[in-house]
Amino acid sequence: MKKVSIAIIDDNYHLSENLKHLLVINDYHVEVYRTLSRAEAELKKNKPDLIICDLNLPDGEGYDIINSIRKNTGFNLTPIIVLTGVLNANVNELFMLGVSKIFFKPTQFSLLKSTIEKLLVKRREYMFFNKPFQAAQKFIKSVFNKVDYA
Amino acid sequence: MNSPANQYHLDHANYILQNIPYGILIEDSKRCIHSANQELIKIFGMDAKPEDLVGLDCEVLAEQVKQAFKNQEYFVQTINKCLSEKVKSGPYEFELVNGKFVELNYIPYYVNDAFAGHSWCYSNVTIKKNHELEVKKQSDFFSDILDSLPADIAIFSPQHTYMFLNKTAIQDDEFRQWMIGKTDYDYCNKKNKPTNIADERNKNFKKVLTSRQDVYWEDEIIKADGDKKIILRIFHPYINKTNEIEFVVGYGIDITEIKKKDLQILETELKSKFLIDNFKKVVFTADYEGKFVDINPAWEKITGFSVKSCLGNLLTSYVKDASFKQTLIDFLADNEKTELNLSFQIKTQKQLKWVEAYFSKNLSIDNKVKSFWGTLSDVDEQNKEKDKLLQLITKEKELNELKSKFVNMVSHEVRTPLAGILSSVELLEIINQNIDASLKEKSAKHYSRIKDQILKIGELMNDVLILGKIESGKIELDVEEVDFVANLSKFSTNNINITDSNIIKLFVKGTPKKVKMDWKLMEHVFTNLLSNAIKYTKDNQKSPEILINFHSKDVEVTIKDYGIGIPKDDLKLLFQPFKRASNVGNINGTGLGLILVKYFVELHKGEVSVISEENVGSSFTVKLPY
Repeated sequence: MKKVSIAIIDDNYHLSENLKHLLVINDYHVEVYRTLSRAEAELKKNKPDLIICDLNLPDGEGYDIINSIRKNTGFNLTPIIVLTGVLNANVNELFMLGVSKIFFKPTQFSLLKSTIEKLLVKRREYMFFNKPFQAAQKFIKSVFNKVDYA
Repeated sequence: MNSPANQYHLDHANYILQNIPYGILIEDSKRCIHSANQELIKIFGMDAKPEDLVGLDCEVLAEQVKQAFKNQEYFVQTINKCLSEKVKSGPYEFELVNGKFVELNYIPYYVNDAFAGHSWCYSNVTIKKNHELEVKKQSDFFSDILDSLPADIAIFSPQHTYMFLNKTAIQDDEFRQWMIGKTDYDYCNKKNKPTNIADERNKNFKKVLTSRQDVYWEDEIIKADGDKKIILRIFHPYINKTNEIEFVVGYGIDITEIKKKDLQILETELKSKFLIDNFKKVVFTADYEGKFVDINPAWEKITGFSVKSCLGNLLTSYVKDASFKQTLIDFLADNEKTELNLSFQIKTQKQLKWVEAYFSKNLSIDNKVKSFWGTLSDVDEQNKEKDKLLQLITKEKELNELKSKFVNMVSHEVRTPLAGILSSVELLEIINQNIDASLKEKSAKHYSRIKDQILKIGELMNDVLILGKIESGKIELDVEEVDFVANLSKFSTNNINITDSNIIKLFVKGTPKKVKMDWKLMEHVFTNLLSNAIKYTKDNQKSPEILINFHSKDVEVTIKDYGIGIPKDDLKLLFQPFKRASNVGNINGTGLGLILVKYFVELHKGEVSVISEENVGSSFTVKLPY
């Protein structure tokens, strides 16, 4: 069976590697991206099942990538967890953008893990119920090529 | 003996006797009536002819005639007096019963120094008398008026002797009568008073005679009881048709009371003048054009210009700002405004000075602006002080901002390495599982301590950051209507690190309403209270509960736990920084959380209260007005 894939977008080497390690131990496939530009390019290819994202990145704000992920129809159901040190982050805006959960660093891995598990279960249920809807979406998209369903 | 010449005289005398308009009765020395005339009969209305009386005893007649007199006694006395003296006397005046007035003259007749008879000569003076009475009545009327006037009135002859005095001038009737024809010197002598009063009056009287105009002066009289009386005296010359001074009217009015009031007014005026003169603010009045009419000495102190040199100058000419002129014109023209407060710079001898000004219009009865007055206060020093303070404040603000930026930066920058350390410890824990059992136990204890401490630093960073924000005054309420219940129920899933073991129940009472609040802040409040509730609840204890109670005026949110509770003595320290209850043991906490809770709730004009019992549980209640 194919492993669940998780993408980490964080520029801190130490933390991201540790997190990757911890997730791998828990039998997840993990990709780490340290810049927004790389993340944007690679995410489309790899299509992860869940994204863990920091807000402050060397080449931009985490808000931007969350926004673009939500606009991409192939991605718009991927759960996003924000893991940030920015305490005064605009929580409301993040939730509006569809962020599932916000963690402020430092966060215990056990909490992160249980959240990831819950979100994946929810996603699977959602995908199951939405399969007919997605099929319809695909069909419509093939007919009206330019329609955007963000 | 009866020569023709004698006969002529006799006849003539007889004729005169009968036709003269006097009632005449001639008696001989033995009081036997010698002759009487028709007029006499007429006066007394006797039912007889003159001839009938001849030869009668006069005493008998007198007894009858007496009845005609109103005052019979006086008549008898007069007759007896005449008879005993036997000298020419009269006229005596009598009033008769029938209303007539008669005058009696007594003429005795002597031959060779021997009494040879006498004649009684009556004349009817009724008309004259009535006329006199009429005149007296009129004069009484006027003198009554003069007497009752509350002013001393005297009439002087041009020689300055008294011709008339009214009762107010001299009360005593007799003395008043005595004064007629006398002078003020006589008065002073009689009353033993110093003659300087008379001197002054005499001087003024002469002034009237020469100037032929009214003369006024004030007389100060010290009364018997020591009180001062001030009398305004006036001499008014009466000039007749021939342009001569016929008499001088003098009158005096008691002005003691008026004078007193005048003095009082003067005193208050002096007082207020003193106040205005010593007032630190400039007080001025100006006419409609804005020219100074009056300025108090403060002007000189503030500007250095003398008050005299500035009177009549335009106020605007001393104001630096050219637009002030228009402001003033607008103010004076605006009927709605009666007052104006503003501040501007004025030119002084040295430098420009800031003043705070107040203007107020003086309105005439028909509501037209006649002039205005105002005050100017020197606020130059104050302004300089203010500037200094402002600079200090700005500096302070900058520093504060720098501080909060620093705190912000540090707390963010510390968080990521902390997260790194935490994850490393968590990895170590996993690696640790493969080593032997005795070591494993020991190291596990330390790993968990490191983890706890890291989490504590994280929390502390969080609270310090918010506290920094509060201190720099950056917290502003961003109020919106919040669906409170929905937000609070979402809460448990999103914000708090809640595990499956502590599911929090939410109870709602009353009709849920939307509540105006800054949700970001209140979220922090509830996060804090809830995480406390979870933190201080042991695994085997009942889960905390949230109770929302919508009252008519406010909403109460109670977060109730069944945890370790707070010892009684620690309750009052609860909302002080870095104070934690003594029974917290090794449970993480910064000691700042509840301060923030209190602060945020009070920002919403709400209240936080706590009820707690050790080992039973705590319940924190937040009361928020709608």
